[in-house]
Amino acid sequence: MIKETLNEFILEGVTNLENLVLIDSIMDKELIFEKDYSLLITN
Amino acid sequence: MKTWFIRFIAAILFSYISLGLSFYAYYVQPSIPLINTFIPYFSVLEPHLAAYKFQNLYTIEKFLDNSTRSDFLLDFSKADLKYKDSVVNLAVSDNLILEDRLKRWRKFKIIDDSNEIRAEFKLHGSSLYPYTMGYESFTIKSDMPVNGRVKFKLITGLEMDFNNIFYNYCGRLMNLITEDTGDIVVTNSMGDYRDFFQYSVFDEDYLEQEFDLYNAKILRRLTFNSGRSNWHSSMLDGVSYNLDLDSISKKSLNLWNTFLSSPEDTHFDPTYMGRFFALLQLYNFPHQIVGNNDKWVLSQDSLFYPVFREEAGPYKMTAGDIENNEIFYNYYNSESLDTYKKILVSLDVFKNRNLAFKHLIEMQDLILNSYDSIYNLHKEKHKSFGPNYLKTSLDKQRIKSILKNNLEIVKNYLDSGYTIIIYDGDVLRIKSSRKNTIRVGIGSDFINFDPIME
Repeated sequence: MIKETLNEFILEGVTNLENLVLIDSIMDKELIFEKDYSLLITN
Repeated sequence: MKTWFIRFIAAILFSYISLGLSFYAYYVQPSIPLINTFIPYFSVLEPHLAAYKFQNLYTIEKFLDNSTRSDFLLDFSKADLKYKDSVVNLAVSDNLILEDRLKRWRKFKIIDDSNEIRAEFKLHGSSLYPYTMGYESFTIKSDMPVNGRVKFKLITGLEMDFNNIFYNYCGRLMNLITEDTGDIVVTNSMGDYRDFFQYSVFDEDYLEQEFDLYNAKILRRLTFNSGRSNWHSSMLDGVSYNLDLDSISKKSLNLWNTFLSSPEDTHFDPTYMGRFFALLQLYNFPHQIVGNNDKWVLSQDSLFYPVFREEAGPYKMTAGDIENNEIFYNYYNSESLDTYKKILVSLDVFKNRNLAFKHLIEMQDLILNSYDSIYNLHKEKHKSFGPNYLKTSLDKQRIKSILKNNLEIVKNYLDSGYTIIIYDGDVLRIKSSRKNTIRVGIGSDFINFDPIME
């Protein structure tokens, strides 16, 4: 069975997450997340 | 006497209502567990009931007078009628399929608006089912256009109806190569007036006229099993020269051979394939890409395009079907599916598929309203001249409900998934089960991240 498998995005040298923005390019929708924790889960 | 009469009337009423509910449950297939267990039993009975027109007891309006008349007349000679009967009888007694060797062109006339048009016909199709049920289909070539077409098919209403117009219409909406959208027409057949789906023959001339594709080649597998188990697939589906063609250049055959086993992106258009997969997966049924149903166009610039030719109708989707690509497992297997599986794992095709999914969602109202409009445009002909108007009208409810369900699941698929962000020291890690490219922005810089692995 062909199933979707997941990639991982890794970026080094990030000094802070204040301006981090995630946008779903096809839905043209910004993913909302809490910025208070080191482990963040978006919708 | 009075009690006996009341019991008799009650029994008649009970039978009428029970049979009506059985027809309803069988044609609409509502999601009710108890009803669903009954459907397989009724499926054995239904063809016999339909053959004796019991369904007409529930479509009384069918018998009311209406203004619909035939669109043109097929003027068969006595010899033509005898020929048709003998070919069908021979096929029934011999092979159980209507083989091509039995189908011969015969000259006849078509009367269209008092004009006599010279034409030729031959019987269409391989399945004997419609013929044994008293219905027939034709391929026709005429000297003058008949309802705007000179090379066309007339497919009995037993096998095709307004749904086929809708399926082709949706294909065109998605800018895909499809067969002629077609018309529902009424003409004489087997001593009666009947509804037919009329559409132009899909050949190289049609590709030039409709799609500006010049010197293109249409590729379709030749053989299939003899209808006993896997009707459209065969052990030769992976054999490149097993083609329904009079001739093909060595170069084209080599291209096809390579393409079947390892489809390179230099030989397909990822945007076209994305649109094709989006609509195919919306229907969630692989009938059109299995075995000898599977049809491709090879353009003169060596690109392969699958022809969108939905015939079987949509199959109800459940959550997870798209992620698991269940479409490839909803019907019997054929090597023809392998080429599609290999193309769908291309990230470029995958992204274009999702983009086309979004386009389908944006067109949801247009698609569903068009379905109603196309039905309303042709329902009078189906009602007066169709083999089973009860089935046509209830099938419409079922298909529309499946389309709504599948569009909703596509919508959920596109907007589903969660994203985990881990910020450890100065390292940002993101993993996501969302389906689309995520644009990761830090300050004014954006980097594209594709969560789904190629």
